[in-house]
Amino acid sequence: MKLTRDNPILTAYALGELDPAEAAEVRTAIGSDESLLAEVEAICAQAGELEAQLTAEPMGRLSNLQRAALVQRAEEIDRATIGSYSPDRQRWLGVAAAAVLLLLAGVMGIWALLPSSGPTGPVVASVVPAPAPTPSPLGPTPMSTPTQVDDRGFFDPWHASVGSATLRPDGTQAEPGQSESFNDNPFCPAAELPGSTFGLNVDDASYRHIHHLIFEESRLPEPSSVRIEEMINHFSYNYTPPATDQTKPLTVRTDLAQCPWAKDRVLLRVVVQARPGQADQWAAPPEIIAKDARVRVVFNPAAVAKWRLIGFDGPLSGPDAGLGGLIAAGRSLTVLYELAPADNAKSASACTVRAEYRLPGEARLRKLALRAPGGAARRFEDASEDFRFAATVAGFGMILRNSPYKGTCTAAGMLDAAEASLGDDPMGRRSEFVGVLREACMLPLAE
Amino acid sequence: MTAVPGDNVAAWLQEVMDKHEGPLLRYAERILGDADRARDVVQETFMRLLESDRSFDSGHLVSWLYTVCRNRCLDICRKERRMNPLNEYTERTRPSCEPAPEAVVSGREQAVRVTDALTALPANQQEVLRLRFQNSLSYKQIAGVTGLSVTNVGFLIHTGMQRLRKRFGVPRQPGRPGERQ
Repeated sequence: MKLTRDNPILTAYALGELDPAEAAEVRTAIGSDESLLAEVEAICAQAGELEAQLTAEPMGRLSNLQRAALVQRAEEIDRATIGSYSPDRQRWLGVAAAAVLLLLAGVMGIWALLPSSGPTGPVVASVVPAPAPTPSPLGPTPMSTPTQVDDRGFFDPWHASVGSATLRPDGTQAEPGQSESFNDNPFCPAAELPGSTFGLNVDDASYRHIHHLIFEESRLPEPSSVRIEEMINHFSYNYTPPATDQTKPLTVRTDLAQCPWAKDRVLLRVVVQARPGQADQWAAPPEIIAKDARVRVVFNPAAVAKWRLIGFDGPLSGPDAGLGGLIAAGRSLTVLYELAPADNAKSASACTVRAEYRLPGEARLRKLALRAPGGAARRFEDASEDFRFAATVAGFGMILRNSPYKGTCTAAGMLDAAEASLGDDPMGRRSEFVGVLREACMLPLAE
Repeated sequence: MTAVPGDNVAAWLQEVMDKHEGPLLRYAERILGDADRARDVVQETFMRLLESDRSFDSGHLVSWLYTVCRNRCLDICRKERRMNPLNEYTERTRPSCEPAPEAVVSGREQAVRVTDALTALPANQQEVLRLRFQNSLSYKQIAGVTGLSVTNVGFLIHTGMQRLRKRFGVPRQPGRPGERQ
């Protein structure tokens, strides 16, 4: 082997990256060459220097709640594996449970001393925990199934909105250069404005910001910084994964329930899922299964008098206006609409949900559509825990935005509703949200 | 470290977290530029670990943790349309003017200048250097995490170190070469 000073194998040798046979070969090649020996020493010295300085950089820690969720999950696995656990651990858990109960009792006592939030009291607070699903008199509204349609006759209104003009979430356009507004999306009459468009690249930055301010700085966010769609989609939901089909990466589902903060209104939930990823998806790079993805909901005036998109407030402007997002496998998006049913509404379809996307590496635009059933919405109390939790997060978001559409929402009511819809919470995020609500109850909320 | 958690997953998790929680958080924050997000990603990484079959040897465990953590970070960056997050990070942290070479600098000043010089390197060189010297991953482990070949990892580390040495010269106290067991 002929070695020079700038050969990467010399660095690998100096760093101890070679197996014994390779190292011996390099050692022989170096021999008594003074320049190569000096180079190896220099590399070793530099490695020590880099290691000392880089390992001295500060490291963070998980929050106590995050650690507790992990420990709880590990202990669940232990219990499931062993079937029983030691008396010592049982005693420890008993003490821990007693401590939690005492803490809860203390917090509840403090709440009892706080002034009432209003003369009518929180409506959502009347939501009772539902440990087991109770059949509604109207019967549960099952999530409807997606229907693939071909490209012919597909209504394609959003492309006209791309360009220098500003695209509002409700599909209308603002004039170019018009200043951005953070006003909440208004109710739109379905007869005049039947369509609503949203992209699928929703982040959860707003929720993280809110969490940080309330927990770390004991203050509320600026209303304009609260994005309800980012709050809702910070949380994971227990949606049944769609079938794995490479050519049909997206599915759309909808369901309805009565609105907890406004009588005579209905909440429409739209869920967009991507097919699941591979079994080892977490150890593989994120799999992009669709791009340029967006959804348009077209309401039926025969069933819906007015509709309002919850979240996605303010116009989307700039070069990305109207463009869809990249969709990774296993992800889902939850979107809520508040609907005012039409007078004498029959069981006509409430809306049609249309999704548009491209497969990676494919220019062709693919489309699917779903006609969402109308009819009587189930009671909010009978909705799934996922539905109720998403609505509760939306309600809290409206409080933080001081939205004119928050209706009877109060922080205390949201707290009760959140605690009643924790469901399966493996990451502890919903419990953490309850903690955020508790902190928020101590702060002067605009309500 | 215990290779297989056996019948006490909680104790095994504690052991894994004691060793890897901080370094993973630092690694994730370096990619995301956001401590809160980094915490979420690392929590999710440990949760995925619990959901795995947990039959790792210690070397594979380290690769698995960093791979899952890195992929989740990149996934988040992609969702935000930051298609080349490592390069963006480089741009965000690049010093306004590069430090001039000097023969003798020491202590805190040296540490700051080495860190600044590191952020001036290409993103892929930064990442492999940090994985090697900050997180003590081997060439092979780094290759597994980043998807690069072992040879490519070796080349990037070699090139990155040479660039840093051109700027700062050779530290005074030499180390000793060893062998990978």
